[in-house]
Amino acid sequence: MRLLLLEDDMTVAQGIVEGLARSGMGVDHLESAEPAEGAIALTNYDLVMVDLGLPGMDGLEFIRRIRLRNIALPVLILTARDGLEDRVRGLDIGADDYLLKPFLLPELQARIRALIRRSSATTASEVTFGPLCFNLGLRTATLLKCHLDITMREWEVLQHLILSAPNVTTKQKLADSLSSWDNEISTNAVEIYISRLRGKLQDSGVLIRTVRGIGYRLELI
Amino acid sequence: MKFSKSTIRPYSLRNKLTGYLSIPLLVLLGISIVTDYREGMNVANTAYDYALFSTALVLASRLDLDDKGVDIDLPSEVDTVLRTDAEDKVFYAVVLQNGNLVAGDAQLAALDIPSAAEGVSYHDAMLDRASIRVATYRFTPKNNLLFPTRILVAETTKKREHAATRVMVTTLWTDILLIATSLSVVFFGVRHVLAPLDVLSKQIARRQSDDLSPISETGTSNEIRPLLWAINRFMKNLQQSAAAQQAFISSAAHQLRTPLTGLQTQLELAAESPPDEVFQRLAAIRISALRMGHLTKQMLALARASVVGTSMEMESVELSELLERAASDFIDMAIQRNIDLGFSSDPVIVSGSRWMLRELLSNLIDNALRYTADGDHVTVRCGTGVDRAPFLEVEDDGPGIPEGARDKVFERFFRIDEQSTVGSGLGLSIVKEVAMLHKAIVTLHTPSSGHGVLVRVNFPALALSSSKS
Repeated sequence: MRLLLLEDDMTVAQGIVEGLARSGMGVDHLESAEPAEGAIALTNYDLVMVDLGLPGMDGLEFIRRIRLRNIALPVLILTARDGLEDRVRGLDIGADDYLLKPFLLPELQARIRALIRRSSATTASEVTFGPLCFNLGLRTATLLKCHLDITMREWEVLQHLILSAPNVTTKQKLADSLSSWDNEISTNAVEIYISRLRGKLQDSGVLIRTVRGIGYRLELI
Repeated sequence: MKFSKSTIRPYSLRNKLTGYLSIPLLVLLGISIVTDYREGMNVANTAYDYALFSTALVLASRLDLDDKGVDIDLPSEVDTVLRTDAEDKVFYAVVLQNGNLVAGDAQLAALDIPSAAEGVSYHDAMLDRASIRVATYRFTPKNNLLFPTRILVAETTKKREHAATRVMVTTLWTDILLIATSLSVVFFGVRHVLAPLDVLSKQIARRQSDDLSPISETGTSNEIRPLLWAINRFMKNLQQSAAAQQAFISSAAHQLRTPLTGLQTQLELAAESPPDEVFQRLAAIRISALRMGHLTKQMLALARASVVGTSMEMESVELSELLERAASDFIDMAIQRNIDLGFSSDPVIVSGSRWMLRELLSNLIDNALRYTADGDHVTVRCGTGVDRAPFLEVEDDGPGIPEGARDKVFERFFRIDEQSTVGSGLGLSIVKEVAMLHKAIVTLHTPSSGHGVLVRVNFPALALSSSKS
């Protein structure tokens, strides 16, 4: 996994580079946006993290430019500006997510993983979540490198959970997605699929957590 | 400074006032010229018409009437005398009823002039492109009833016009004098009257930017005083909000100083500790840093809520969506603290600012999670209460808030346990601020279980028409 970080504060940058390196993410660091345009053309990065308040070219301007060139690179904004306008503008221009400083390393790692997972779902059609590997094109799944035997409806539920992790997926959304290719499915039916999936995922290191009253979340133990 | 610039221009007001006054005055002057001339003409006519009538009487006395007809005794010297005038040309004609001209000018007799049945009447007419005044004397001689006769005497109107013009000019002079006086009184009077405004604007312009003391009202006119009141009221509000900001900044700095001191001390100690103790210090350092991070985030949220407040953009916000989002945001914190975080949401829409309401909900959940212990429950609910009023509530079964502290928990930087370092002391202030901006009411209750606290935010009931206002 190779990431690019645009951050002008050396202390912050050093912390991020070192922290992400420990979880196996290689990070190239640049202090301004100008050389970054060349860098993303030469290297095949998985994601770029952009600080908005950069010297010279602004972070927002950089994002706008790479989106104009139709580069489908996931962009995560890291900023101390927490004005709503900045947030909305960043996402409008084409950033994929937004993380407010100060943040904790585990949060940053989780966001990066989620973004890469989502982008690979659209480009590579293969998504991994810990020991779980999902092929979206073939609609097959492997768990701990073994074929996972699941029904189409279970597959649909699990796909939803994987693509939205680490966010919570509401029971209603799961019911809606099942209803789209079947008759109306009640939220009670969702519970049945979830409990079946739990049985199949047992002792694999992947866990479906119930969030009382709202839905489920896929987690790694 | 913009303020003073726009007020140091009293002259435009003066020009406007003079302009507005001079237009009706000039119209009045025009009307006066016309009516004065007409009046002068009336006076002149009254005087000179009598002379025309006298001439007609002279001609009548010279008529010689008998059964055969009418004759007139009019030697040429008499004719000359009758026609002599310093300025005007005089015409006359003696005409019988059948139209026969006995004597005088045929052109005059040919004019179609209406006249009274008997006696004298006067008319204006045109002869040879000159305006004339005609006196028509119609009479039937007593000794000859067969011949009703008409005597016309006319003259051009030069001396009448002269007389009317003289009358008009005399009054014109007094009119012009009156207008000039009124305009100059206004022109110079306005400057004099507005002088206090000039002084006032200079006074304000000269002030220091932080001088918000009221402007003295002594010696000002009744017309200016409302302006002064408004300015002073505005300055008082400004002063109060500036003082509130000042108080907030200083207490914020104080609040930040505490975790910063902890951070510094722990770092110093860590630097001097043997390597195996450093790790223990790091935990304390981490907590101080987290506290500072949380505190700055809260202070910014509060500052933004109070700044944005006045110009808040309202949109329709689905509260259950906020709950879904909060579930993702807080589930990790709940798992970490081994707290059972649950939700119960009915779809309900509130008109408000999405990020502010998110901030409100986040602070309620954050508070609940911070002040409950291992194994406790926190439940977040939204829906509609009585009267279709939307509500949002967060319930926990933690230690609760003592009765006596319930009013104070909404104050900034208030903590129930003063030694506590758990929260920022700003969470409920943010909740209160945001609720106030949404005209919502925040109340504290004890849950039915008897322990813990239930914070409920009641939004105003939705109007029956859901159209956006």
